[in-house]
Amino acid sequence: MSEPPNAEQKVDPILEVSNLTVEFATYGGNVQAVRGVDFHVEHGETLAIVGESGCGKSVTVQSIMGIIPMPPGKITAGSAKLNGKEILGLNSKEANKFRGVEIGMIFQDPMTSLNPTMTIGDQIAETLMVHRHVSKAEGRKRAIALLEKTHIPDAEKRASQYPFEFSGGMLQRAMIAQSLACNPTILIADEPTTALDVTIQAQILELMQELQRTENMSIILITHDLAVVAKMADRVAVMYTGQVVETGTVNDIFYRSSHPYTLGLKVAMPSNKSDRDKKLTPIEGSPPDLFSPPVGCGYFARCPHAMKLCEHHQPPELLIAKESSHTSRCWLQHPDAPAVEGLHQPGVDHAG
Amino acid sequence: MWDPVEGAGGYNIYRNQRLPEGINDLGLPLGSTLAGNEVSYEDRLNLESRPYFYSIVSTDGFDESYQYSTVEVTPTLAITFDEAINRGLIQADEGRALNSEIKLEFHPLGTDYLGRDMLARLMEGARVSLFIGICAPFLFVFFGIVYGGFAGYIGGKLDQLLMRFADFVVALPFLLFMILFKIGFGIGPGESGVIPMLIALVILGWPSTARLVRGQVLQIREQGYIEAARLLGGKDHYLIIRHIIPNTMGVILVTLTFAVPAAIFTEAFLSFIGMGVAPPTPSWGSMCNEGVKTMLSHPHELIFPALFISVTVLAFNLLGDGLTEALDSRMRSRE
Amino acid sequence: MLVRTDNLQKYFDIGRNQRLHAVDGISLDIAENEIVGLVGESGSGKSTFGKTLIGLHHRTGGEAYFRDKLLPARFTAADHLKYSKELQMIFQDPYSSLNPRMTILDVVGEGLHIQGQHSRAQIKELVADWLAKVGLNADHMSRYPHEFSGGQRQRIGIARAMIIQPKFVVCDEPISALDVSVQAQVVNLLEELKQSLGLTMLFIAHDLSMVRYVSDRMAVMYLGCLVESGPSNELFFDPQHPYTQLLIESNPEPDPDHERQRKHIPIRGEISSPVNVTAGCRFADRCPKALAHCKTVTPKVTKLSENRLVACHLFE
Repeated sequence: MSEPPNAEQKVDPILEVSNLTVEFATYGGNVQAVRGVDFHVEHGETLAIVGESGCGKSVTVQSIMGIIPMPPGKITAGSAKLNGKEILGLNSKEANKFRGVEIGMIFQDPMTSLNPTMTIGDQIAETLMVHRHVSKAEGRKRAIALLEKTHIPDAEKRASQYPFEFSGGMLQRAMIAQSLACNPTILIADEPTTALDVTIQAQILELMQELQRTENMSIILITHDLAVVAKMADRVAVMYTGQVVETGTVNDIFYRSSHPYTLGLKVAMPSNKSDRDKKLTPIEGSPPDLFSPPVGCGYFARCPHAMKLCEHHQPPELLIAKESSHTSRCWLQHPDAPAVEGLHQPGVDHAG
Repeated sequence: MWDPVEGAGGYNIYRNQRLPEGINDLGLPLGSTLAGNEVSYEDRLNLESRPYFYSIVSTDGFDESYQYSTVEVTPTLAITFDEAINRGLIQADEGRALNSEIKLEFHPLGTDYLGRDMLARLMEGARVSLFIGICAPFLFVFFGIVYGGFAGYIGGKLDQLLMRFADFVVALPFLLFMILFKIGFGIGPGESGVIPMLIALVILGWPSTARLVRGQVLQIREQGYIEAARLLGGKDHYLIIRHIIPNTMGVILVTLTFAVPAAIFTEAFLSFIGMGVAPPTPSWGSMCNEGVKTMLSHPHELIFPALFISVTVLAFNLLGDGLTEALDSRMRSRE
Repeated sequence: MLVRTDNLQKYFDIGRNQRLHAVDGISLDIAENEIVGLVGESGSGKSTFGKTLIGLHHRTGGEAYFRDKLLPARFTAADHLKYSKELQMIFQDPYSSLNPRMTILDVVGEGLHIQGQHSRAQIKELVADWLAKVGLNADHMSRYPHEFSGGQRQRIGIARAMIIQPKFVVCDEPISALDVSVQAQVVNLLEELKQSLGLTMLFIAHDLSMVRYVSDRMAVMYLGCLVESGPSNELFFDPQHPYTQLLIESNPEPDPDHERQRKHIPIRGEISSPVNVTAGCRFADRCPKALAHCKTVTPKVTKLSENRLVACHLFE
């Protein structure tokens, strides 16, 4: 996994999301699940969207895919452009053209995402029959080929089996096989390995990396596990309370963390390196209420370096490094901000 | 009575409920007199206290003449003293003169074919229907909780045995059983048959609640807080009363509110087919049964009991719906 | 040794002559004031082991000792009460381990209430005390569990276990259901309490890095058997058993450079069934270093050094 291509080879990103804003009408009021999210995905790269529960990462990708039920949910602003074409707000007929075809998706729990009353082979074939208009026999043949591509042994026999006859890891492979059926350019993986054992997780992640190379796909990986991000991602977007608080290359995020939340996540996890016995520093408190999100920075209540300014003024996305489009939504990146230990602040004058 | 017509061989008498418009519209033929000098007729056919138009046509024995005369009459109801006392309309020692008027009671919903006030019967029937409809569910739900709770908690072979017995009870044919029960209990004259019906409903109604509660208990038993309580030294009965039963309350309450309309309807149905409470005890179902017989002429005898049944059952069902929704949202807020 | 098991066995009969060997002969020592971490993947039997140890499951075979006193194979309610001051547990799921219909006061004070040696006022005071100790607001004791977040519920569960002042606490995946930033809160709390109360713990989890960080000694389970045990850092950075090596290698690090340089040997095949197992090493069918007799002969436990045990034919 090398560093991203240099500035001269500027290619348009496959997917460009700007100012995505999604809210839900619930019994208790309107929940601002996503509050102005920007990110982009380049050809053949893996973008990891990382955050804890309630940060809005799942809602973001589900809105892009158009699978959020729109009566309670509403996209109130923003756009998502797939190869320059707008994909938000399409009616279901138009959405079906790209959903599952140009963008594939796999979910956390394969047991509930696959139909328990259809064989695996039939389910994969169905995708092909609907989108590529192939015959049943041809669909089945391609389904078996896809199962083999995801290294499921005895693919032909497995294609006639039902989901309950598969183990967790095997089912996840089957789901990956189905998502690849129409050769998507982007694969969205929403917490694909959270429910799996660590050895199986390693297998699935390796499989995804292999498929990315052979199929020339981009991957959007949603996860809460920083270690998985370190293994898989080229670029990372860190989300908190519905906003992207830091984005950049994976090296930027890990070695040049520019947001207190990213820093907080890192020191809250045990490291197995040189500082392996250093005490963990938790992030105190809990994420804020999204019914009435804070007017200022969403992280203000829990930030150990919070300034008075942060409470009422939401920080803009400040550019840290132009080449890698490393940005951070934090007042501490302002040129006049104080220096904070451990935080990467290239624009801040440390002399004072 | 009327004045005789010269040359008439007899008269035909007709009655209409409105003024006749012509000789062909005289109305119901009541009868004839067969001689010119018979000039009176007594109408014994179903009189109500409303205007009637009597028409008399003279005949010569074979054909009617073209002339007729009509008279409008509104009958008055008369009653003898003794009969009035019998029916409870006046007290025995009340001094009353002949020809004085007595006011009859007002029957807001009319009367049935025996003259019994509908509203009074419906209210009495309500007592019967609601008594059975509420007591029976409470009893069989309580029994179901104990039975199902015990089976679910104990588990193992005893649980299997108990549930197979419950399955057996479910398999009993309901109607046949009710009939056998009725015969077996041998309801004598004067007994209302309410208690045997209650017992029958309870005996046949508990398995569904038992199954439901057992399912809940099986699920709750696996929860972490049960293990935690056991680890702290909680005995079996403590766990059941303090932890398991309160958490099944939601489901039980909903079952109860749906069991009540079902029981009311079952009782009405059984009484309707004659397998329920015995007459003269009124029950909405048996009143419907009687009402069917006079459905065409006096529809109110059927409509009112049927309406009462429907509205009551609907009300309890809505209550059940509302409770389910309220409990559901409380459950969800716990997530 | 505070707690000791000797060939502990727990089998489940799941009908039709099927016997599930959840825990198949585990001998583990836990010294006083030690935190022993128990890791393993799904189907390893680690949770079952923890529960069987403190009597929540009936023991099928083998022995368990507390301070050299033999624990009963079947715990009655009276046994649980008697041992409640010695053995306690912190449960995995913060959402199902608290009775939704009980106030926090009732939940935390339940153990004291069952013991029956404190008045209501005393219980209330102690609960307030302990809520503060675990970092919660004592005024919240009249609230219900659903009003608290996952991390807070886990703290309530900890208060419930600790208020009885046990000596030995089994922590069954206490942080798996929590967010990353909250996990550290709970882990720090557990460490603090261990220090201040002089506790001994069995920390069961599947997050290898966290277990290494928290525990003094670690033990690895696979399909009901103990495959390796030893001091945490030693075991983690120098694993001997092939399965332990595979586990450590599969464990991703939050460090991109490290991940890029890593050579990875993926695990093969599927985990076999713990039902009706026969003799032989459980890991033989997936082991990259399997020898001929691994499939037929069950390996014995070898002592590699003072504290290091391995169950593998490679070391015999």
